[in-house]
Amino acid sequence: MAMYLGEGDSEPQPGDITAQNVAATLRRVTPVRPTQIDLENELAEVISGAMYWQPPHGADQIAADPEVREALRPFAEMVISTVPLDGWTAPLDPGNQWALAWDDADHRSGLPAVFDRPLGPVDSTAAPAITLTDLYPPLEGDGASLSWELDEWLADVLTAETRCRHDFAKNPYMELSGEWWSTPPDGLWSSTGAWPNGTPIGVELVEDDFGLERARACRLRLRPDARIAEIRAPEDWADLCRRYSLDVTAQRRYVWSETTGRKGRWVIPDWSRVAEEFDGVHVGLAGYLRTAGAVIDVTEGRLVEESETIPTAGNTDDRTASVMAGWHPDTTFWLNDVVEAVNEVAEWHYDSDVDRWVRG
Amino acid sequence: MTADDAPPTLHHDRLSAEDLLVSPRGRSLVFGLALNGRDDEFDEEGEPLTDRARALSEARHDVFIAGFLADKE
Repeated sequence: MAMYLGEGDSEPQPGDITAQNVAATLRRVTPVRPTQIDLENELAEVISGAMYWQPPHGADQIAADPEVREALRPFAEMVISTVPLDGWTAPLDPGNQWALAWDDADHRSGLPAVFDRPLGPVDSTAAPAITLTDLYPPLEGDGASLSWELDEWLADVLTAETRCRHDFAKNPYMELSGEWWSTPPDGLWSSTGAWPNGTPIGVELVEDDFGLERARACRLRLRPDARIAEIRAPEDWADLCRRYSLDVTAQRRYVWSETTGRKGRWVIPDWSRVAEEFDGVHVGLAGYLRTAGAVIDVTEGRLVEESETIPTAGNTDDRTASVMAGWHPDTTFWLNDVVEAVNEVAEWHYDSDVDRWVRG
Repeated sequence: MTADDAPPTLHHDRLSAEDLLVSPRGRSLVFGLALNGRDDEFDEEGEPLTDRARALSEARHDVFIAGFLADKE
């Protein structure tokens, strides 16, 4: 939640209004029953402002104050008791998965090839199959490619970690920025489910949204025996981290301390090994709300090999933790080759007149 | 934020109020909804017309100032 001073406003001074003041005024506000549209709009607002490389917005810091949090309880209970949220905890619906390609031609070298394909059902006997590369813009310049294989991704992560450890060895307190996300790599199929009205959830709920307004959605036909890991709560993420640990302490140390305030050991799931057990990893709406952005406690002490090169200066605890970062709500990343075909193409665009995404 | 902020819930069924309040995104969602107001409770210039709207307006002001100060720290 971002707020800004307007012209002519005098600048507040420390102590003018505290979190305790906010809690007191909130307690005087009568909770109003939100509509489903209110909820979806506010959810989109929250998610579009999600950031994992800087401290939370001031208002979100205020919301985390224990007294304010308690003052928010009647509002949370109103949401839970009045809005039907049963679908938010549903597992992946394999028959309703849509992969998205975005029109970002203003910033990229061109439109993904899928924008040249006719809309509607795909007759796989009459036209070339739609492939994953059709969902990405054409490569630019020297053709620097996405990371297409999990082994390549793992090698990149390990190389970055080694490099960052060397940097911290020279200066244990350096502010070393870098990758902040904990998703599998680009270059894999990913998909999203749909709201009951048919709108793909992924066009409406986008983390760090920068205003894209047109997308092509490809309905996927998936192998029926695909094995799915469901992230329903932080424990599910922690479980993946414990079983398939990949230490990223050095490379996430600065960015994740900025967003969480914590300094310590960090791990993420090693997706190359998760792929041995699961074909897809699904973060549903409830799983996203419970998990995204939180410090996820993985284990007491260290989980990975002891090494003097792992930076520890200024650690705030002696545990191992993780952050689920960069997952859009209801996203599934497909780690193995389980997408059999695209069997329908649809176009969606943002209609500013009605403030909604509409088909066509 | 500390490791204690990670939601402690072990259940994987329906979302609870506690789920929302202990997680960063859930809390932001509730906070945003709490500060939403009905248009018919404010006049054309945004001045509150009801007691509820007056309380809401005051809460929005306080959140704005406290958030601004937190951003500056």
